Amino acid sequence: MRARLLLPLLGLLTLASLAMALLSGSLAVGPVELLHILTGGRGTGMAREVVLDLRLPRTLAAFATGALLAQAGALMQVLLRNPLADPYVLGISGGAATAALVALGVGLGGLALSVSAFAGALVAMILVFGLAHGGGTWSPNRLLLTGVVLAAGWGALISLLLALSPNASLRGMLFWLMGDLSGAAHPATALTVAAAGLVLALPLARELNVLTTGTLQAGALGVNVTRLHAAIYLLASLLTAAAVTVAGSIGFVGLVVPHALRLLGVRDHRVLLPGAALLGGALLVLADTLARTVAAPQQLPVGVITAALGVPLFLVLLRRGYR
Amino acid sequence: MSAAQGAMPEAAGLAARGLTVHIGGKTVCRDLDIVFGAGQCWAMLGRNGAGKTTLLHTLAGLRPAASGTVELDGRPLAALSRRQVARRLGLLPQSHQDPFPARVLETALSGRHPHLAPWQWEGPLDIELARRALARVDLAGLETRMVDSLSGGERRRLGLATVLTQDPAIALLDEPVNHLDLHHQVALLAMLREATRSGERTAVMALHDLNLVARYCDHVLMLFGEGEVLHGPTERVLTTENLARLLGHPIGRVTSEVGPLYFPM
Repeated sequence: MRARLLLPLLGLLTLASLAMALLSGSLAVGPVELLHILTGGRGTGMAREVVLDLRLPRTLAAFATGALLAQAGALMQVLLRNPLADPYVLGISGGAATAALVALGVGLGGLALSVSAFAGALVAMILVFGLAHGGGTWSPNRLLLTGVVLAAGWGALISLLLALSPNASLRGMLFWLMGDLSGAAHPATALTVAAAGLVLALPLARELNVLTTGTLQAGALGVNVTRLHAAIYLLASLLTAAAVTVAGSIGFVGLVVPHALRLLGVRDHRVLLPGAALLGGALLVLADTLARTVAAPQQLPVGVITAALGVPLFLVLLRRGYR
Repeated sequence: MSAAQGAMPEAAGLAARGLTVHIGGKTVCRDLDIVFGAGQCWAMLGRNGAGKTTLLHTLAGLRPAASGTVELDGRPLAALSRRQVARRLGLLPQSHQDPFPARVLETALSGRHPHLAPWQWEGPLDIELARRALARVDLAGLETRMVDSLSGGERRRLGLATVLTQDPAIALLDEPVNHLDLHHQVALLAMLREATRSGERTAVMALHDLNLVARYCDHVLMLFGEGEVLHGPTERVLTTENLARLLGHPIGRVTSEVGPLYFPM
């Protein structure tokens, strides 16, 4: 009954966050004017340009990124059977960041930067899967250890790249590492991937519920565990890769959003996955809106804001305990 | 095609054909031929590390055998999907993992998983089946409790309720009475015995309590380690000589009003 209320509520929250993002900024745009602009009606030229060409793409990119990260986090947590897992725990963001920093270091930007980050994420993903699979047996623990060790390796490479880079490119690199949505101009791909991820994950949702009780129990209840593990790993990795490609490594969303929903009493992944997508998206839209308005014209790293919003929210939920 | 639609199987039940199982360099059984027939209630006996759990997992198709096959209703397990297997065969694992929060009713309800289509939601009928299973293991009234707030024995009975909700024709139970108090041990085994007596169900249980075995199981499978096994009807196999050799400890036997009683000497 709670679940039936939750998704519509999260839908409303999403709409509210989108509206707030589109209304906020240095140029004042009223709600009525916004509606006119969005519905293709008249609007002053300036407001129209700001909303449609600047705020809307960035807001949608933020929503897609949050949705991708929260879904990936929910999947990783089940895959590793560890509620503390996040999308970055296996080093996929590390591979993406390393490749992105190399690209930034040689002066690439825009699409080339995205392609490079995505390629880095894919390399990291294949590396973890190949190495964890090597012995023939495949367990969440082995995967987790392989991923954590490789993530540490990526971390060292990132430090090395930062140490070797000239001062001029450091700022851009740091922003990328902390997560940055200012360059996200084409949200359509990310939105499509987020939606496709949900469509692919939902048929597996009841199997995910069973998998939370252990591989043996899941196998006994008719789940093909090996196949399910591979499917979740691929899906979670691709969602993470898409997210870091759009916005760099934005922390916190992937860990906290699924867990916050679990604390609210959502345990069924058929509700948790779409719920996480909505809440993750809305949270990142809010965070990004604050990041670009709080200290305007200065832009803050969005990762700082997600943490500033997420930490107290999470602690409050944690104090209430599981419902 | 589901198992139910196939040609009527010649042998309903679970069978091993030439089954050899190894674990950690040890042989659990060698060329084992055995039929766990419908209506039979089996006890699996052996010392710690003899391979009871390994053999149960192999029989459930969750672990590959070194050689030989396991057949479910006359068809090799390898030819069936996990889902088809799970509709006919259930396993109670030796221990339970609960890293994520869950409620008692939801956990029992997961037993319906193999019976539902991928897109199907659990309906009132499924919930009713889960409630009934919980009542059968004396957990009625705890439906909304969090699983991690249960005692060890209650958690064990919840595991059994999940198997009962799954309602398999063949139930493999790995030390089902672990953590249970005396009353619930007897009540549970009596219930399983009753279920197999109807003639359509089979239970195979790893057990340590010889008196429960003598009282509730009609067949016994002994794992001596190093691949040697002995199996047959309880009254023929459960002798003090066999038990002394199996357990490495002299065993005594007296007759009582509830049947034979075994004790370590």
